[in-house]
Amino acid sequence: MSARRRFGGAVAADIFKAGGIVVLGCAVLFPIYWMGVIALTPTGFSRSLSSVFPADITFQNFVTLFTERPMLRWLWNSIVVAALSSFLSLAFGTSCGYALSRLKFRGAGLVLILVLATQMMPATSIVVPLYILFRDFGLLDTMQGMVLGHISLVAPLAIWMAKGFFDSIPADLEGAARIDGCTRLSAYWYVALPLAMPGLAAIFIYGFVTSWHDFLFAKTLINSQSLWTAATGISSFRGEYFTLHELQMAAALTFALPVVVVFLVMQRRIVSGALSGSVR
Amino acid sequence: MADVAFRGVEKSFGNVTVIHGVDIDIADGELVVFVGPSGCGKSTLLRMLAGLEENTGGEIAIGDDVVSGLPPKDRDIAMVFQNYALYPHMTVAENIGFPLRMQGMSAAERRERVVEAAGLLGLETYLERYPRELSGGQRQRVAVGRAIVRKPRAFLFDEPLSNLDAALRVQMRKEVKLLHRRLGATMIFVTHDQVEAMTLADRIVVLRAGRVEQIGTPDDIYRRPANSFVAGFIGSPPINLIAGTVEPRSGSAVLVPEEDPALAFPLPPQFDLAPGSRITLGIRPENLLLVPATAGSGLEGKVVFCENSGQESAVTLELGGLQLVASLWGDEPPVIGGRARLEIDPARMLLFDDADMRLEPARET
Amino acid sequence: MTTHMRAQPGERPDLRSGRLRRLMTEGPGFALLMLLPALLVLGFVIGLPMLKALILSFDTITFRRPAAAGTYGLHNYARLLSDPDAWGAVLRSALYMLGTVAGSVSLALGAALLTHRVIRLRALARLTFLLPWTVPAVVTALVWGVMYDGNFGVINRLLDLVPFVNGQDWLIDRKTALVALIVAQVWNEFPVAYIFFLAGLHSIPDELYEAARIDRAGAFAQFRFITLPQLRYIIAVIVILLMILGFKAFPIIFILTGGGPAGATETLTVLTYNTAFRSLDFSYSATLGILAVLVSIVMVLGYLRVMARADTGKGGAV
Repeated sequence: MSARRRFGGAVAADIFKAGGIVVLGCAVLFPIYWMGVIALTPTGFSRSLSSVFPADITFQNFVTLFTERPMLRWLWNSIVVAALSSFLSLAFGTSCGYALSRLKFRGAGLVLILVLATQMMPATSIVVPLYILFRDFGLLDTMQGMVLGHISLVAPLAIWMAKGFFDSIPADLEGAARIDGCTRLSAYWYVALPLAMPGLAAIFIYGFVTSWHDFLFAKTLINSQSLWTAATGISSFRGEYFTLHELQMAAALTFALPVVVVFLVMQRRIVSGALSGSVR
Repeated sequence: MADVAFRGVEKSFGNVTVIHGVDIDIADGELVVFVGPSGCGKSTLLRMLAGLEENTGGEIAIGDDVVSGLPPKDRDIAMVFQNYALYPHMTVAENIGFPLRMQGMSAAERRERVVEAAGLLGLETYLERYPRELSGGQRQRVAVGRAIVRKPRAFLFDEPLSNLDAALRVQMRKEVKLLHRRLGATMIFVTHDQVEAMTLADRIVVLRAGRVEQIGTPDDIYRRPANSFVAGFIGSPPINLIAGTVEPRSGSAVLVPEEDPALAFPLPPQFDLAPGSRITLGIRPENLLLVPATAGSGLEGKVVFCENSGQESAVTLELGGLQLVASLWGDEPPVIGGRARLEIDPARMLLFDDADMRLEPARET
Repeated sequence: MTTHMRAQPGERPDLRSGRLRRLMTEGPGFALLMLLPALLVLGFVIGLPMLKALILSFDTITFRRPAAAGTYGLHNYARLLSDPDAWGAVLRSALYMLGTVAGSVSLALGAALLTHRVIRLRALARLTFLLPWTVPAVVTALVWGVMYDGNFGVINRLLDLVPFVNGQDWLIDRKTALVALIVAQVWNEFPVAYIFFLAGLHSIPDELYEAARIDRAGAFAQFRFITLPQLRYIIAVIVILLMILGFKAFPIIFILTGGGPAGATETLTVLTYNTAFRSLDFSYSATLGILAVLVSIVMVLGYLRVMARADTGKGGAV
């Protein structure tokens, strides 16, 4: 009797949990779902939707987006800036992360704290003086300036993550390599670097996404519409098409989709990267 | 091949000194084992010889060259690590050939040497595999292969067998010994396992807390330990150590233990022992003879514990306030709780003075 | 150094590679070689701007006076001390942090507790609560802006179905704007905490719960005496991390309200931006930026402290 009651209690708890997951899950997914629904509704018709399900489905909004607005151009700018800033950050950050992981030198702790601090302070504190500096250097409203700006976002992250990946490689491997005839430099090149490759790929993607997501630097350092990144481009729609929700949502969906796909493909690695103490 | 010398070698991290002036001379072609409890500095010594750590005092020489300050690659030594340190992204052949590749040897010549080394270790069929596809013993062999392929001046082994299971460890131990015989190379082997040390070594270096306690052949270390630490560290089950005071009893000297002054152990007559001096008596379990309680001689006690490993039983006997362990070979172990007597062979007693140095007999019997 | 080496032709690589090369590949030179590129780049894109911010904050550079005035002083800092807008922004930043931390922690902890023992459709359940994280802040802002819309927004339309509850112009009403922004921010960032909580729950040994069940602890007692204490370091780490994120927050606020209505959502970051690019007072903006940096340094030190304790303490899965 009591055993059955306890068993019944466990089932009730499971049902309660499952119900909780469904309700909470639906609430959390709703904005994404709604973005899709509105993006697929004919322009101007979302206000007359009578339920949370789409009435007429159309891709006209996306067509409008790519034909009447320079959406393609902005996406391309985003890809170029993200790829360049992420690659350069990786190129500089990897060796620095290795030094912080392996070499004992005075000031290592300070460098680490500075790297962490720069990653964690508000970007608005950097972007104002950067704007003035770039104005003086003639880097405002240029792709080079944009890439440099994004390096200030991505490089600390790359250094911090690279250190984490090198920490997870046993130091004895490089010891063995040095005994086998390597200098410190060639031990890094032949042993540590190849082993860190999967980690470096994760850093590249993480950096790419960070740059792709950025709004502040893109908004501040770039003026010409033709040089806008997708982030600034689509944010401008809120002012421009304030009541045309369908176009806003189509733009938002276009911008979010690549990152979501990358995330789905690399979910596990990205999650472990986040856990290693490098978030956003 | 070359000889190796540590001369007054010191190592400190900041204010903490972990190696206090170590002197060791290793002859060309010798297999020397560094042994000691964890934290004794044996691995640090090895890593300083390899150049993975810098000595902060003294000097280390390989052959005629003082190598202190040189990077590892310029010391011409090979090392096998505890966790093998195989390069996970390289095949067995690439792992073994890596030192040759770093010397700039041609691929063809490299291949020849790799196959030769692999043949020596029974690895021919695994050359294209990756380390993760190998068993523990095979990985061990690859690590050894990477060391021997290069014909270095000395081989260093840093606890290479401690990650293997018991049976494999015994087998690999034998293989290392055979390898040493075949190559005739200078080898330095670090372990915390005294059985490994005893079975492998030409000479053993016993270390404790960054200092050398004794250097000698396995036989020396076992029969003539320099002090009670060495005596206690080497041997299983461990030696019985009884601290007490020398007192005269009916013409000869006896030891009265601190822990139970009611007992008295007759001491061998060939030592000059001043009455009242404090000494430690060491007697190995196999030198204690267990006889039935009905026997007329020996010290009577109660059997409190017995560890039977089949061929040998370690019997713990309680004598008043003391517990002594005796080894019993072949015979059936005694009943727990029963009485038995111990006969001690005075000729096999080890005596250590107040400063913990072993006393030499003053005269022959 | 090479004089010690024994000549052994063919056995060892040539050692006459020169002192410079040895220096760069082995000793302190190697450390420099590895560190220098990154330090130079960081110096240019972060160090130099920070220095520039410091110089700006002692100067008076505005739209009308784009060049250095040459008279440096503490006037911007004096103004900061007595500026009600600045301290109002600090207060709003604090409220924003408090709201996002409380919302994200409770949502993430709830989701993690619900999903960490799920067996069927496990990947789907987890993905559900991770997905908002992949949505860019800009997109978050646009989506919530559309949902909050006073006339056509889905939130008001759904509220119409509930009797006696009236819709709001969420982002235009002073009373609701900050809360509305916090909700959007929480939706976007709570997955970060969810990941940590899942990992934390995962690291609690099952034996603890088995022992507790044998000791007749109920579900609540298990949560109170096992789960919470085992998670305490993770919760501490997450709270500080979320505080930092909340303090940094910019795009969602800026795109949705720009700091309005009438400054009701003007946090320190938004005020810093607006001072520079709307009021065009770069010097004062730089001063506000430095205040923000000081606040974040305090939080980073707290973060490091908690991390260090989580590393040494038991049950820290971070």
